[in-house]
Amino acid sequence: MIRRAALGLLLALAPVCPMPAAAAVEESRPAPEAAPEIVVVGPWQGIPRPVGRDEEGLWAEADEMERRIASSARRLKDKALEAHVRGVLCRTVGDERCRDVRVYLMRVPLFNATMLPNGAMEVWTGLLFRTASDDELAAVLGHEFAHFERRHSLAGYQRARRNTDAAVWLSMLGVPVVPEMFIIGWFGFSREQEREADLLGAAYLRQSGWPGDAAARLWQRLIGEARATATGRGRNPDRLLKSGIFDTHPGMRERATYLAPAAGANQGIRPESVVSLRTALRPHWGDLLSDQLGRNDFSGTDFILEQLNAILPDPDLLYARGELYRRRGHPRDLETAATLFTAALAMPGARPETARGLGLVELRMGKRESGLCHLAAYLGARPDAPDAAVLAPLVKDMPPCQP
Amino acid sequence: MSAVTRLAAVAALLLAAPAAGSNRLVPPGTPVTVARSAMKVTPPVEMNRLGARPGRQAELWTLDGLPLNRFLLVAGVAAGQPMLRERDRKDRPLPRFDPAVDATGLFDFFSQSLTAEIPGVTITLVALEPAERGGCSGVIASWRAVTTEDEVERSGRALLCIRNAQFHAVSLLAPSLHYFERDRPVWQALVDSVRF
Repeated sequence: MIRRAALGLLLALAPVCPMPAAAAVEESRPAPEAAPEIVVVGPWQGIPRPVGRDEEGLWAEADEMERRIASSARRLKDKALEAHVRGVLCRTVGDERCRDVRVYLMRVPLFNATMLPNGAMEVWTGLLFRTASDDELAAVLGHEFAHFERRHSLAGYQRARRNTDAAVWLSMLGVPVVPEMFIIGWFGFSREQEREADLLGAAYLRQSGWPGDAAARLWQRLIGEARATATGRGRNPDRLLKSGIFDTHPGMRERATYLAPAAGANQGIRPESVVSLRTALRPHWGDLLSDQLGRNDFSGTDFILEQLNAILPDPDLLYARGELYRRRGHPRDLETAATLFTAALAMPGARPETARGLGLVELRMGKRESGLCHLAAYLGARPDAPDAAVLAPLVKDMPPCQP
Repeated sequence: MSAVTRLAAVAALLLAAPAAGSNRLVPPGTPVTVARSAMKVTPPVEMNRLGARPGRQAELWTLDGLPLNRFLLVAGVAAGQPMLRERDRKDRPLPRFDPAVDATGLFDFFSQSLTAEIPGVTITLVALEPAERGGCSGVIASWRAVTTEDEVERSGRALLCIRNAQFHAVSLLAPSLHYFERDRPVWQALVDSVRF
């Protein structure tokens, strides 16, 4: 009897814990035609304040987490870059919404940004590395702010607690509980929140005058990177593009698809938006590149750098690709690296490390005189470089030369 | 107890034993062979050698535990081999050693291998200087590292060198606060004692 009553309770709870079948998105099948989903930005109700014990607890935890972020050794303490990222956020969501947000840049070479329920936003350098322009950055920051505005942290916490409470009650009543049932429900719920944040983020883009296709454009590039990485490592690239039942985010292709109709008429990347972000990133480009190269993902990195350079040619991007090929060092890679470094040096604003890269490649290719000449040029521009003590003896007795 | 039961008990005991050898104390003042290679180092103080090795050609030593002082010794990595054990070749591939690499490339090889070994680590090169010990020529590298795990800033120093077309390394990674400077003389003594 008790078991039957418990089973009734389980069925009554079913909408709270959606079963996985609907959640798995088979993206290889064409999606049925549906009316495009358009979300409109509503009036700002003021910075969300914690209401009730649940939210007060979440805020207390967020405050503690923010203290750790602010003092972390991973934090990129560059006021100019922080101000640039914050400026992009404020333009996107408006000064009123932006007022109480704190932005922290963290040196982590992965694509991610998060926002705590107390208004602290964390942006990882791996995201900045892959973002082509201010409007693409705006798309990600707007998405994160949408989570904040819709109080998704609280909803997620309450949902998780309801599910675990239900599991405890059911097990006490003697109903065999399968924990995965609740866990899978949580993952589906998380994907729905991500979708909601994507669409509200697209609304911010439209209202603030950024090109509305920025998010879809960024996702398309990330799809390309994921495919290139998978192919380079001998994996099936299509596997990565589906959202499975254990994914917390919608699949990349699914995102690119539903974001496209929300883009509006204002579309296309603007050169000034690209230059603005690249100028802000330039002082950190060496570290960003070094962190990315450390991931040992030749194909994915090559794809991203080539795509970014195709948008707007840039000596930093050519230098980065040159380094990628130089470090792999296959015989044909040296030729490619030399070509890339040479092209970068022909552009205004090439960093001195480009001459270093070309010099080292030329030495390996047996072009000693030209190689040493480029190394001398590098050391002339960077006498305090970390590797100056190793390279200086090579060019000690060099006559003056013009690379 | 039947023979079958006894055999099962022995098998269970064998399976329960750690796969890697146990940790050992290394006495000071005695040359010790690293990773069954031709390289020997002489510790100036008693040190702990971990039984679980990070690779066929690598060993981990410590004084107070790996988070506080991590001595990574690498010996005899041949052309085309990774510096450490490749745990996940598909998702976290390691770079392969190329003996034709220039002196600056030794640090690229070393740091890229560490990045795959220590999750979430970011490494910043501070300085490279030429170095040679026991006929092994290369560089001494100094760097800073931060991991996502504990967000402590660490300093690193390593002899990275090539001998007989094989890669060798003696490195220390320790928290910049206190431990690195305290343990640096131990690392220096290990480096100065490198023999083949």
